[in-house]
Amino acid sequence: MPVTDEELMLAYARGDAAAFETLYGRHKGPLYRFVLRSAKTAAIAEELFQEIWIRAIEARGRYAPTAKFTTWLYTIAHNRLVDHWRARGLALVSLDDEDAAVAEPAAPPDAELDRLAAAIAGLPPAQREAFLLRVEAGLTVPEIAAATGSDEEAAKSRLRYAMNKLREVVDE
Amino acid sequence: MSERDDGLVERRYRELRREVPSAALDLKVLGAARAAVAPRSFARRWAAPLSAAAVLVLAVGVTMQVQREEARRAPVQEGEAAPARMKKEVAPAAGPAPTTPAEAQEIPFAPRRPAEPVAAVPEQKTAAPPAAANIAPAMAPIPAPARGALAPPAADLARAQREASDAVSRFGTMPSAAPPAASAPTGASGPFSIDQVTTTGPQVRLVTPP
Repeated sequence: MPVTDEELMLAYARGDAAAFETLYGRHKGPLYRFVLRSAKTAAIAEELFQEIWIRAIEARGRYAPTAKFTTWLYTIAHNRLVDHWRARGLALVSLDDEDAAVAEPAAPPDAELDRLAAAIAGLPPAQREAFLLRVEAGLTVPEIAAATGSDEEAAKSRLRYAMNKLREVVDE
Repeated sequence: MSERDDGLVERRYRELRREVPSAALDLKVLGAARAAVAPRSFARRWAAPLSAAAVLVLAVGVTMQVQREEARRAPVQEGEAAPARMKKEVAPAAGPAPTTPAEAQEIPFAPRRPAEPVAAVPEQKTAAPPAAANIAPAMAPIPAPARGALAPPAADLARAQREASDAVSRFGTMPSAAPPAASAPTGASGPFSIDQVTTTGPQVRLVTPP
């Protein structure tokens, strides 16, 4: 039976660096793609990715396995992204706005996967975040709500809007 | 929204490119993680406690040194000031201030002649301390609690002067407030000469021989 994330994090908090390496290996890919598709440029994504892990490392002493490690880690990621958006002057109130300005894809999509990637990039930030937390981190609706500091209804609504838009692309 | 459609979107999403962080980024994160839990070196571990201990020792040392300096300086200053104070306070109560140097020497802060031997007064129950012993406290460094007593308020001083004047006018001599043992005969030569100065109370007492 493999060691759980929570056990690994507790072991790391006690000074076991190898436990962190295992933990990092499990989560580095999903977290990196979550950040990359939220920040949209690799340079910013790398910076944010590193800062998120540094925050997790610094918070190891305060970690308590009251929730899944994944929820805890993506809560840190969400907070760091919010700071990033604030620094860029993006209003958080627009995150839930269905009609918020949607970024246009960088190039016209040719294939279905390109269209899907473009559609994800064009989602409002809150919907994109909910979708990525679902598909990359594997979080449930309540866990998405916990990670983003919102209620379950809002999280469910964001996820539904995101899925509806992306399904249109996939079904074409 | 159907679960099946959601599943289709998720499957298609997983066909997208699976980006991963660069090896350099992995090294940075893992290096930070290792450094955070690495045991600290001896110097780093003890730097803070040793610094605190050094500061504490230094503070205590400076405090003790300052206290020692103050204790050493205080008796010297008070020893210099006491005779001047005594002279100022005694002169008005004893009568007219001496005007000539010869008279000024009459003010007795030291015995003018040796005290009579103790054997000459065998009937006394308690041995009277020598006159020099009574005067010595006024000349010696004054202990801290008596410092305030040597500076009586002006009203007390005036009252003492009035009482002395009344006594002189009534009896022709100064009243003896000191106990018999303290007023051992010292062979005073005049009614206003002072043989003993005691500092037993808040006021300076002038004691004349019987």
